[in-house]
Amino acid sequence: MADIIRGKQLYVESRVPRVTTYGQQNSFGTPSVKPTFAFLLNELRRGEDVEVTLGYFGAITQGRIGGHVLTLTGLKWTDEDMNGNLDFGEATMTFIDPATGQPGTKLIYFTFFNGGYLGTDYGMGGSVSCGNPPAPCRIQATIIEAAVSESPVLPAPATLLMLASGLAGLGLRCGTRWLRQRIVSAS
Amino acid sequence: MKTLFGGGSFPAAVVRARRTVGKRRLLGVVIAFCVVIFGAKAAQATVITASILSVNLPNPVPAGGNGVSQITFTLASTGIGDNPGRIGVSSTAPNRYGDQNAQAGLNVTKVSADAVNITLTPTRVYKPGENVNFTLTVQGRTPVGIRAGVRIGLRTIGGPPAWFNNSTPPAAITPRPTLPGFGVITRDAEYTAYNDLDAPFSIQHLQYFPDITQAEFDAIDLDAVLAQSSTPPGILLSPDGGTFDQPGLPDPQPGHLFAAVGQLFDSSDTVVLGAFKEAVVTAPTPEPGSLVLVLIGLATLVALARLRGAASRSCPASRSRTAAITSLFSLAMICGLPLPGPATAAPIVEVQLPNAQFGNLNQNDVEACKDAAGQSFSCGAVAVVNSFAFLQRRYPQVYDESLIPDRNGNHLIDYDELTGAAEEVA
Repeated sequence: MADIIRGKQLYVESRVPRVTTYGQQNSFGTPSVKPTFAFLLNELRRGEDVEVTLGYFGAITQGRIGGHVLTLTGLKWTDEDMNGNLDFGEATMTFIDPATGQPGTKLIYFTFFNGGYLGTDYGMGGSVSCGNPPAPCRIQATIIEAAVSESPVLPAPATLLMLASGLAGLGLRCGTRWLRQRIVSAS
Repeated sequence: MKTLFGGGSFPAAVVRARRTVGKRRLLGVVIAFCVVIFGAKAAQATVITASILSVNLPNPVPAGGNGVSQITFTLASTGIGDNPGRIGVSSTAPNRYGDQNAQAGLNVTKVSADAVNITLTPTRVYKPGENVNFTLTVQGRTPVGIRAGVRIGLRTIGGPPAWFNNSTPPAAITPRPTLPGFGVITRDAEYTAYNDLDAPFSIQHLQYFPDITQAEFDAIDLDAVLAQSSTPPGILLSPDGGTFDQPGLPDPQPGHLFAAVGQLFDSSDTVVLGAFKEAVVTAPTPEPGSLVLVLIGLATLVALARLRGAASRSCPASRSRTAAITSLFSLAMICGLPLPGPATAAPIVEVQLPNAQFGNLNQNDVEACKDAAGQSFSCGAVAVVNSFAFLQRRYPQVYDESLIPDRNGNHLIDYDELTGAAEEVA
């Protein structure tokens, strides 16, 4: 994951330097930050592109048996039982799948696996080659291990509003001073 | 119900009923309507009322020994320390712990608000050759964990599960017993097994019984489960917090049990440590919001009926006017009841970027994403380049054609250009 993030930043900065902001939540990083639904949602809402790294896990003794990277394009969550939890079956993610080049939709949910992660049913039930000698290993759990986003540095609407209110305040102050001077000089 | 709504004539029917059959009949219609609207929905909701952990462990005392006379472990469950009466224990016949009221041999001491130390001293020792079996029932809705002690400040109180022989004083037997913890979510059912002990163990032959009765649960024969031969690999739970989680299981019906059954092995899947069956007991729970609505509706109807009675007694002339108001109000209530949207609609959050703005590069077309055998593998570069297409199309004033160079000058993002960019990023 670190290679993907670093390689991507190097490529972007070599082409269009200093105009891009990067965000990430990386369970492999230091400190380890597990991706959250709120992070993914906010990044997409800001018009940022988001890639998520999936980890495939087989039987417990096999551990992590593979992974994949998806380009996230959308999220939808209906909190049907209104408990505030991202329960299984309540939320979906849409993405562009590099394995096909086409859009896809899969479930996304919170799972207690490995101490609590965002999980997805992407790849579940399928198998990947693992072990030595390589043999098909069944995917029993898929978790989202990392997410990285980027977008151009554009002033947010709130920032523009702050700037506008600051300029308005300055204008008001100057106007008041000018008016006061006019009154004093007139008297 | 479908007919009533489908024809769109329900309000009219109610008005006719109101005119012809009178107040009591209308009240009955309203109550029946409330039951139809809320009753079925309420019946779907479940709440966990108890957790059951039943184990069957091979007796560690060899033939000729004096048996197992005591078992200790630390149990964690929210609020259990202040309410130890929630715990009950029994064993297969003959019950070595007396009936539910006696609970002979069960000793619970508080460790913290959420943890207790449990000492089981059966009325009859488990003699060599007799499996050590007991069933622990914990009332309440929180998951049950078996801990290797609880750390309070610098001290650790309690310890990993232990068992003792029948000598005087009882001596600890090694290896120690293995007891799994577990939790269940009953809506969109999800089962989680915990290992909060200080040694790893493996679970084999894990089976779920998401919707069974208490009798069916009791009938699960743990001797048969224990006798199964090892079929590795099992589900290895690492010590100090290892978990196994299985979502997407069917929900139990209210009043039924959600159960999981399995076999415990050592971490190498060679030595059988025991068998277990775990379950949560569910009960139907009407949704509080629905109940409140029903009560408010009924209270309003009663108040209106009393008001009308008083008005008609004091002023017979106002009877028709009051009746009209009551009819309109009842009608409004009936029409309004099925429309509690703002109160019960599930919140939705959604964001969708246009898929068409992203690239459609397939990793099978990128040489850098293929191994020596020509098979493509997971390739972050392809996902990244598909994102670049989005950035270029969404923010042309910023990125222009810099991320995916326009090699043929047509100012479009062609597939070959995506491939070229991916080769470079990879």
